[in-house]
Amino acid sequence: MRSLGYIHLAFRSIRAHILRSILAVIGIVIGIAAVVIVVALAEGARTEISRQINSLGSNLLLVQPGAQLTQGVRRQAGTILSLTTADARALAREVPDIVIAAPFVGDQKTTISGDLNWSTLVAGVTPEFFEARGWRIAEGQLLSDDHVASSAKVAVVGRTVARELFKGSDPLGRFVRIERSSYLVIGVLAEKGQDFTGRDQDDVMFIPLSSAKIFTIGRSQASPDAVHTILVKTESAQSMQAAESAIARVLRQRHKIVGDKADDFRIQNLIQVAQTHDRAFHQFTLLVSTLAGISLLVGGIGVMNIMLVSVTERTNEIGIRLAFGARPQDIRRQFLLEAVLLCTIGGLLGLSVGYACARVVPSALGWPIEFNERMALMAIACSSLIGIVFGLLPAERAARLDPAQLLRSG
Amino acid sequence: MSSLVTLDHIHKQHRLGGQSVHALSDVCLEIDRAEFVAVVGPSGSGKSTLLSILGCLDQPSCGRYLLHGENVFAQSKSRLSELRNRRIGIVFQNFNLLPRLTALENVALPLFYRREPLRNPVARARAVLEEVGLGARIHHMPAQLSGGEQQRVAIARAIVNGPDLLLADEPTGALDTGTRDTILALLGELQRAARTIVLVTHDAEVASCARRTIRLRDGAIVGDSGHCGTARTLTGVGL
Repeated sequence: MRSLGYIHLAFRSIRAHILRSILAVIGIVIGIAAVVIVVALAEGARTEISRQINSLGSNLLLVQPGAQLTQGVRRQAGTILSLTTADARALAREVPDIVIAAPFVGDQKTTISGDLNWSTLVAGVTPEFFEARGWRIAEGQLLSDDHVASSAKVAVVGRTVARELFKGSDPLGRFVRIERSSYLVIGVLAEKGQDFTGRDQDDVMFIPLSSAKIFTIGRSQASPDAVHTILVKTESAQSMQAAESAIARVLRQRHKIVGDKADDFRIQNLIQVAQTHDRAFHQFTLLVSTLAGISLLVGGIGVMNIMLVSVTERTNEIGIRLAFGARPQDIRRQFLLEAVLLCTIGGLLGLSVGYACARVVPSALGWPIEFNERMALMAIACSSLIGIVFGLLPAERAARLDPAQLLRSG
Repeated sequence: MSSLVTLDHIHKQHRLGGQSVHALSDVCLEIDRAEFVAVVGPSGSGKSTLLSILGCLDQPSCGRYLLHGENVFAQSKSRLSELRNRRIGIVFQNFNLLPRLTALENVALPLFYRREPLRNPVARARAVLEEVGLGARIHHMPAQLSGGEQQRVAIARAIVNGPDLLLADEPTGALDTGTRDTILALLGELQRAARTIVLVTHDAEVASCARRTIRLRDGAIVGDSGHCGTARTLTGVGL
């Protein structure tokens, strides 16, 4: 009952000086709004990144040919075709940690259907590739071993390609022409979205590895068996390290690289690459959070300043309350509650502003955001805490006022 | 019967610009229950200081103050607050109402700080306002009330918790003569209802309402008409 009275009292006092109260909490509003936006962005990014990591497929290593060395200058990776399908088979056979070793060739090609055309990544793969990437079919069927064995002219398309080439009509059973060959569409893949570099993973068309080499991507005269990449899936996340060194050992042996001669291939851990992106973003978040924290600190000082002014201005009121039986702790409680209420109102305003910004700005810029009750509670708790910390000094000053001056001034 | 108030060799020094000024020196005083005492003296004679000490708003530099036999300044701050809340009511010259509260809320202020809250504080505050003749104006803000009405609200606030000792610092100083008389009549009624009143004034006419007059000069008592002095009764001056 008493504490309700104090809250009522605090509300009246804030309402009595509404402009001053608003000015006092503006720092808190901005600070909390900034924190809310940053946290919403960080949460959104975290979810997005973990979704991307999941969409890559778990426990994946990428084995790619190394760079060519021309007169001491290293050329782009993949400029030599050192990896072969035989290497893929050998890896699957000889490294116990490896579950799948899927060979891959790919090139950017113009695909044509009817009077529409679309430039996309055309990839030659075997059925294991889809298993390694955890890629599911949405309609129709996946490529099979038979398709690879018979170099069938069939294709499985990603969502983006299906949309761009067929404009809403059913792609299944239609033909796609790539240069002089026509491929029958037998399946459409489930949507995967962007990867961590922002590339659209659904902008792709898969054909059997053998068909790709014979009809579309072509093969090198020197190494007809060459592939662009071998995608390796390991038993577990823990075995990735071991698998990496085992792959290096097997490939060096097969490619007859001895002593301290450099590898003609390189091994990439995709999860690690994605996590590096995550860390960079985390540092950005930390920086912005620090700025938001400084804004909250300044906001708290603003509230303290206004409360100190208010105490000075209300000396008479405090004296009257003391003269009629208020204890110093009653006065302290009254002013502390006022500061907390002021800051909490600021926090709620900041939360609304932050929520509104987090809704409007990122969707306009295309950034993912995520909002939850935990963040709202944090914002309110945080602003109340600021009220307590910065309300203590003014409340203490109010509680120490001397009621005797009432009569002296009167 | 023991006295309600006993002041025992009270001294009070104020510090003014590095110099210590004797506001009260060696004041001894006994006030009985249901007495009406006027404290008079020129300005600077220590009247207000005496009232601050009686009202537990200020501490003496040395000396003892017994209220109901309780040594006031040996108590904790919290107990002092309780004494101010329950045993003492103060009326100020400039009313000292809280401007943002209604008459009713101003009167209810001491009830808000009661250690044992009343079940229905609003009803009590309303009843006391009716007692002082303001039953019709309980929801007015102080600024909407006349000086006399404001002072009646202040008196209602001072007596709402049923104090033993009612202190008044120039309660009619800011009022015109007609209003002054109604306020004095009100105080007279309260005194007849067995309340002890100590009234500080420099108005001889006001002081003449009291049964007993204490004269202060330079912080010392220079005259006391005594407990059973010959001061006229309040009815005697036609109030």
